[in-house]
Amino acid sequence: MSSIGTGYDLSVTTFSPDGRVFQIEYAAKAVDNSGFAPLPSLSPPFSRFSLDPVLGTVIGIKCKDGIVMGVEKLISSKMMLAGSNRRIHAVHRHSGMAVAGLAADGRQIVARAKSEAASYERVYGEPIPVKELADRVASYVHLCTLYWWLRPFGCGIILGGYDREGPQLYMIEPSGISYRYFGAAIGKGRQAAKTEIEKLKLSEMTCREGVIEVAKIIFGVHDEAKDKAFELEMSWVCDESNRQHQKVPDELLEQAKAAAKAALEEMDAD
Amino acid sequence: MDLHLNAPYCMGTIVGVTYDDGVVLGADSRMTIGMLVANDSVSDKITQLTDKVYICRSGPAAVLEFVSDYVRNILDQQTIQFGQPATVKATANLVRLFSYKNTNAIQMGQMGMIVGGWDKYEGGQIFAVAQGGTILKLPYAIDGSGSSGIEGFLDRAWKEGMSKDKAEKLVVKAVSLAIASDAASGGAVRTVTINSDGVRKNCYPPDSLPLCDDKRRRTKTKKTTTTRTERRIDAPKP
Repeated sequence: MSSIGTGYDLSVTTFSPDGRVFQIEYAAKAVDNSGFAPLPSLSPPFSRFSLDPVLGTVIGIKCKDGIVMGVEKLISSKMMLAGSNRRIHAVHRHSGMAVAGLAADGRQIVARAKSEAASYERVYGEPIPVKELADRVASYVHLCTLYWWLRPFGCGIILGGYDREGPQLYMIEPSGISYRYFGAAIGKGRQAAKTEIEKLKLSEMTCREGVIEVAKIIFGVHDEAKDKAFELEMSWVCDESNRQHQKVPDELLEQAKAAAKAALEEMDAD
Repeated sequence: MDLHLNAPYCMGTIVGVTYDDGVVLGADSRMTIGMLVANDSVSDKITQLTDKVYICRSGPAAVLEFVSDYVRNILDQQTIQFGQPATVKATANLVRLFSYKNTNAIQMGQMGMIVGGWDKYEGGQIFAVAQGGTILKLPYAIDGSGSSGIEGFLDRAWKEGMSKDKAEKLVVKAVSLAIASDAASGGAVRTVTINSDGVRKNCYPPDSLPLCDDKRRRTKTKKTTTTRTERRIDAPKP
């Protein structure tokens, strides 16, 4: 379990005696609990809507011909228009970013990533390599952990892109670490999602199949008891989409949802 | 606007051609100050920017040296960051950004550059960066004061998919022709051949160049005779 860093956790510029920076770890908790509904015991001004900026679980996988990303978007109000409030953002023609954690923090990071990609292309005349983009975003996230007058970003990012080196998937944590992955998951359901992803044979899977698998995993980790409804948002960047980052086509999305629901029922029937 | 009349210029002739495996860049080696020839043998107008990308420069010598150093500096950092050398396109883009942003600076004068090289994604490429910052990707390019005389020659002589030796001979011939017809071009012909195997530099001293002055040309032409029969204009045709 996590230890409470009494006295050493008040500022992001303070190390604890055992070498930890607690504020960054607390920021990571904001990401891990992504999808956690706020406590109903809060007083009326802090209504459910205004204090529910968090997203659900976010998953990304690297298939043999591209990347698929999926987000479990928790619907905090029935009045929200379906399809609005996108959580997966295109950063450049060839790459996109899904954010888990505090949504407003995520927006800031996406804006920065877009500007980095544009400035790279302006100077070097070519689209930014995904690795370089991940490095720049990670540097930016890390930057905000170095000053006492800034707080760390409370979001984890899954960045997927397809450049000359092929499809690549990166995950960037609030501490500023960025690693390249075959499959990554962040948010509340990440443990279960990771277990499921490890079972998949990603190197043999095409993105079409990957979309269906991701949908199944997200439906699987969604907690029916605690959270009410959710919307599934998916995007891909693969050979089929001409190496452009785009929303998964509607008919494939519907197909994936149907397959996922069927798989759930099968599991319940057991 | 040439206010620096006493500054050295490397106008000359620069040529860049692609062949099946890579590119060949060529240039003369004359440096002029105003109307005088300052030096005919020392200057190397083909400068390295990154491992396999070179730039041929034609124009004010000091400005162009600076451009090369500046771009090389940026690319060194980029190479370390990426772990691999920059592509030809990225290099050419940096050169043209510099040219574009400084078009109105007084020292610029007439400046033309050819960026040529090889990278593993697109193979051999030639980019011409013209006055003002236009960038053009071309199969072959020429620039410099002597280039106008060899436009037609190169259009005729360049063929797609040439071998390395043929391409190099073509470049040497082209620059020699330019040297013969342009006062600001002269000296040796330097070539740089870049392909997947690496970079090879050659220098052809002035006395080894094919002589392209008028006398030789005339004696080398085949004499052809044509016979014409005289016929009145209204006579019936046979």
